[in-house]
Amino acid sequence: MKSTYPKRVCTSNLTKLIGQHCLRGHCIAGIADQPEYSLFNRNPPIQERLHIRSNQIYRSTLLASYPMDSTKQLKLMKTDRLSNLPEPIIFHILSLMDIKSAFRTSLLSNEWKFHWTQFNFFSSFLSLENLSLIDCFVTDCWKVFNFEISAPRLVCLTISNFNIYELARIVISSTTLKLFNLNDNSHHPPLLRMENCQSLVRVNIDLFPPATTLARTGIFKETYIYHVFYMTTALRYLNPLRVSCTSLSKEGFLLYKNTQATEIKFVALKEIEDEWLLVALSMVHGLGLDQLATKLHENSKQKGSDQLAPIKLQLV
Amino acid sequence: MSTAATADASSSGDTTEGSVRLLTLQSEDGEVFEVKETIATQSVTIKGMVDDDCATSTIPVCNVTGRTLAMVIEWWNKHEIGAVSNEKELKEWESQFDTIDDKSDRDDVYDLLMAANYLNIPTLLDCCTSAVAEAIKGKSTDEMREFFDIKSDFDEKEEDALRKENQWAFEN
Repeated sequence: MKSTYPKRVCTSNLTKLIGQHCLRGHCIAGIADQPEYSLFNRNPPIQERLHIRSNQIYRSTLLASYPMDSTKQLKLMKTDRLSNLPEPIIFHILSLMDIKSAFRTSLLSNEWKFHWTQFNFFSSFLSLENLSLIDCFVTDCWKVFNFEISAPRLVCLTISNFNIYELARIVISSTTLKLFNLNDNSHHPPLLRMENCQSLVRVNIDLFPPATTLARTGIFKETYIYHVFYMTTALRYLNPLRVSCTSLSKEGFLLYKNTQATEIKFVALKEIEDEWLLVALSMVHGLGLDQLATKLHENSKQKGSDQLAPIKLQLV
Repeated sequence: MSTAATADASSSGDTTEGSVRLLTLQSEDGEVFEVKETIATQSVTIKGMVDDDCATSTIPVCNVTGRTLAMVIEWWNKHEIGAVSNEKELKEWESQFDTIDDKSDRDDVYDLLMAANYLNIPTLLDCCTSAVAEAIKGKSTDEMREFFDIKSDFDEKEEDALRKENQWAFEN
């Protein structure tokens, strides 16, 4: 069997990967014999530059997946046997080849257009332990979809300013993941789902909402707060969780939850505006509620408003 | 790919070794094969049936013809522990699946893929998918279309635009 392209094994050496400023169509690459690799893109359009190296580069791309149903109808029309294979097999076949060849299949027919984008991101990176996605974009998504990150040995995951369609969700599925950092400075923090993350030791979420979002009252701010609310609601069952949000008040807002010590800390709670307590409440659901109530009570007293705490607590 | 094994599996070891259970598999077109349980459980699907005690009567193997099932059984026989003395010999035997330049070979691989998918046989699935991947690699889109007999339903304008937009993928 002749092979001029790197084989699947080439990603198995990779332990650390940093993708920076990656756009749709860009490769996140694993290179043979190089345990660490950075993908860096300061000046888009960078496509050519990245892909010229692509017979060295092994997949995967940051590209949106597409809704499965849309191809169902096309299926009736196809005649050749290759296209007739079950989708998981087609995806498996595509996962075995270099990015160029895989991409070329996108022009075979409408049905193949998006096949090459379909796989669990990084799942073929067998030894990847350290993954950073910094200022990456996912575009071309016109429906709600999940951006799934599942590398079998992932230990540390950093996602920084991940720009994704508002309703899309990042799904992280890794039994080995220990540390997860999320930094976000967008208008809408990403929705997250963590699956099978039983090894998690720490989750740090740092939010830097753009000043314009919070300066404006009304819809912008509300949307932002609800995004954070949904995000923290989805994560509240994770034990080691820390969420901080700057530029909300002078001192920032820090919520820290550590079940081992059954301790909840609120830093600078005094200046928190009412809506943000929603977020706080979503996180401490079922845990240390008395403590929270006391804090809220103290807080509201200082603010001179006695109604706040009871009202918000009813929401839990 | 060389000629498929004829249905010789039915004669293998059904009289000797009383301790080894035989499973009866029936292909879609009605052909019946008797296979040692130890061999057939290379299929995750069949193993599941055996573990759940559902393999007592004939096991229907839907969507798989007798011809293909015979090939699958040949694969199992070769991959049974101890069947082939060394790794090299096995690889050599497997290499018959690597080239799919003939149309008949391709048809066999598609059949085997469907069977391997249905029966969940990881080794066979890996071998056949990599054969197809190897065939796709390095080909231009047009060559792929011709090789795999795929009809394009793009209109020309659309295709040109896609090509232009993604020039990187079409340079050698």
